Amino acid sequence: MNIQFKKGVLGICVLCVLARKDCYGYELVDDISKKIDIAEGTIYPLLHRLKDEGLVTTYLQESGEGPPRKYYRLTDTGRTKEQEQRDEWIHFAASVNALLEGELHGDN
Amino acid sequence: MVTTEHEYLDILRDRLTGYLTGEDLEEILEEYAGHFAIGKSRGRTEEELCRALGSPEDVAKEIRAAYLIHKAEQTKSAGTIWQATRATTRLHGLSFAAVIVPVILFAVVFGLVFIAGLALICGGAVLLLLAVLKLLGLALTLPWHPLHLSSQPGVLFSIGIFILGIIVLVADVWLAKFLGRMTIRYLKGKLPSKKDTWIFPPQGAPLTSAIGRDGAAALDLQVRMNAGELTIGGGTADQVLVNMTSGNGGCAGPLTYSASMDGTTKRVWIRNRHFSWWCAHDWPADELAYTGDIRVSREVPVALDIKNHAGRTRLALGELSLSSLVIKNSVGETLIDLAGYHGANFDAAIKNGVGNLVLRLPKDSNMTLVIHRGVGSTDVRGFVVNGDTYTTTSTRPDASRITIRIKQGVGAVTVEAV
Repeated sequence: MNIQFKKGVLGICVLCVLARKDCYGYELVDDISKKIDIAEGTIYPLLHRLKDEGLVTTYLQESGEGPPRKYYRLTDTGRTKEQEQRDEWIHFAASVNALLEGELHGDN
Repeated sequence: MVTTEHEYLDILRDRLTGYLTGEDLEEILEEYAGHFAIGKSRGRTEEELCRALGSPEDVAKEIRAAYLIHKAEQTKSAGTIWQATRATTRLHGLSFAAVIVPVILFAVVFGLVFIAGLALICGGAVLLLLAVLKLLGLALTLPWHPLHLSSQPGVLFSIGIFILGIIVLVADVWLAKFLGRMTIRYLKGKLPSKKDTWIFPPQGAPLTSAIGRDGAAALDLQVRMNAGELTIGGGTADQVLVNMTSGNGGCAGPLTYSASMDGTTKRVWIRNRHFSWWCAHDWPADELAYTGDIRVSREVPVALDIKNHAGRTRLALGELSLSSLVIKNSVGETLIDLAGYHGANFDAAIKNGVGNLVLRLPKDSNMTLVIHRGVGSTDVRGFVVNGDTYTTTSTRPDASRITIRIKQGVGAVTVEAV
């Protein structure tokens, strides 16, 4: 699949996963890469950018194994953005699908 | 092909050293080290983890772009803008030369003008000193004659040169900063593209333009006014996104607009582009202060960004659905009416320079208001107060959530929940 496609939606995916629950980096990367085939390493810079934009914050939490983990959590702005972008995406994807299917029928 | 954690982190460190501060670098490396640690504890091998992460060179590129754009925004020095440009162009596979050649040209021109300004200041100071000495009867016998003038320049002329130098210097620095900001916005893809065309309504008053919806699911509306009375409200005909009526403000000129599609979002910029100070002798006659009346569709969420340099701004937004709201008013009264609002949740930032600010807000919603007060009274009614923060809570489950940050310069702030 076209890499630019994936990059474009990666931001929404990250926000969407975080809207369900706070995650530490690995967990988030794992959740997303199970569904979307993407270089896992590119999710961390994205997280940093989202943090800069004030959409996510981080906090440290002890884990049973190893050192404390850095958790990512959506801010209020992030939550609003997530809703907005999700609505936008659903609408957009539906339009694209309708268009593509329309074309297929046209070919038949 | 990198197969071990050690190698992977080494390459990252190598590719990022010199681009990130030590603190940022350690933070990001820690993040990746943590990724390896957790991955290994779940039975994945280092080789697997390296492969899944993607080539460290590419990852380093992404990190550099992510950090440098942010850095350029904060500092805006020539060096960081240079670095951010380089990182972004590489990431997008653009030709670096296409971006950097104009940047270098600008830098050279600004550098030369800067030196010229300095020379004028120094020259003016030397001339002034000589002129004053001469007035005191202490004419120096110099081996050279300043400027090869037949007579030595006077005090006023010297001061003039000095002031001219300061003006040149200030204008140069201001313009360079402005272009730097534009470069950053361009890199973030927020400037109008070349495809945008500005529509100039024909001369005559009043003029109305309608901007069609074209299937847009959202509206991004930016309004920049120089001076005049701006009103914005809801309500347009079906399939019309924005209706614009501009009173012909004599020499101030009509509003112009540019519209383009960005995905499913329609971006509309509205500007007043012909403001001439030559008609300032009419000030404050009505014909100078032109009016702009903008109506916005209620059918799509709107991101509104408004700047009015001088004049009254009246916004009746209660019927709209906003996704964000940014208002900057330099001089003049600002009235924002959100009464009855039940659209999407949004954040707002309001900056008012000089002039009264009046807000009417919907009582039945979950609001958070933060007011940085300046000079002038603050009168907030119908809110729960906690320091600078004012809140309301609604009992309705579908109530809108609104966060508003206000920075007030000089003038009274009146807020009422109605």
